[in-house]
Amino acid sequence: MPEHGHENSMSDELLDRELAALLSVEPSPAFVARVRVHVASQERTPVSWLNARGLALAVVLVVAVGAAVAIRTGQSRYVDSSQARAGEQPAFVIPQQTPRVTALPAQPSAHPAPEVLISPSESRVVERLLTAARGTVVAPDAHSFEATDATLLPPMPIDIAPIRLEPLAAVAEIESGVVQ
Amino acid sequence: MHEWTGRLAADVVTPDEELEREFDARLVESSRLAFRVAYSVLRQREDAEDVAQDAFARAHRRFRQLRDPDRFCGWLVKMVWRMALDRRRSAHRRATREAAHQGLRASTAERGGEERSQLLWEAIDALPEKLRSVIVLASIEGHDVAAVARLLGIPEGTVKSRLFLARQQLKERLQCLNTDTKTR
Repeated sequence: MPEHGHENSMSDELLDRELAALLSVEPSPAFVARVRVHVASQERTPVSWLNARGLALAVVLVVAVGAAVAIRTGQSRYVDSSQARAGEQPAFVIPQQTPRVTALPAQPSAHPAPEVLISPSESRVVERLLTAARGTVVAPDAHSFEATDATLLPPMPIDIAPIRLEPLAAVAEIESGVVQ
Repeated sequence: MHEWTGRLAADVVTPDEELEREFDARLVESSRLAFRVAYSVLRQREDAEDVAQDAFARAHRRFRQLRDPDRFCGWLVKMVWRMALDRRRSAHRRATREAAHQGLRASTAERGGEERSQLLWEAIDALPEKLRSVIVLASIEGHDVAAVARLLGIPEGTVKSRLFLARQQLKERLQCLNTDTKTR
């Protein structure tokens, strides 16, 4: 029995040696380097994806901040600077806004008929009135010329007779107490 | 000043860099084990390297959970084993298809000089998977019972009993195969 056990243990050792020899295979010398490269290349892809996402996020953030600043600036235009109390430092200084120049629509070369907002009959009346007024009133150019000449002339003395008012008879009677 | 800042920058190690260093250390110390486990299943050097490489790539993705060395090696061995088996199954299916298509069979001449090795591999292949993994791991780099138990996450007593059974079955199988080849 012990012999049998010894034989068995020997054969076990032999088997183990054979198995160890069978599995003592070495990977190629470049194996570890190849794994490193593979791992690094796998790692790069999600990082670049993350970078792209981060970039997009940053763009969105910048746009949002810009919009917020623009809205805030627009609101601050309406803040009246006179409301700032004397001796009190303003919370912030509103920059002087240059008047915004808006592009005017192109003017047509010919003068079109003005838009009439009143009824035609009223319009006709107004036109007649204006024509009549133009006939009586001195032309603006001539008037301005006279005014200019008047400034050049020396002042003339104005002789104004005193106004004398005759007392009314009824009033005189009332004052004298004649009236019953 | 520049030297000082340069040295400071070199000394500062971010957590990710530390993790990478740890992974690299694990890769160096367990690359042979992973390759041999894959080779024990596939018997093809290139295939074994491919499988081990893929397993390391997966391990790298999950390395935060596998920082403990024992846990890492155990996970790696199991992963390599499973991936190698999958690959062998698909390769076997492909080989069977091609053989059926061409009407060819594996030539016995291949056995020639490596007859003993072939017999051993055949005997190992005939083992149930639980016994096979134990005997293969125990035969790689002289892993003792405790190391195999740690790698497979099973009690040492279980490893011992499985080793005993595996050896018995291997010996019986080898005897049968030997007598078969002698009678041929």
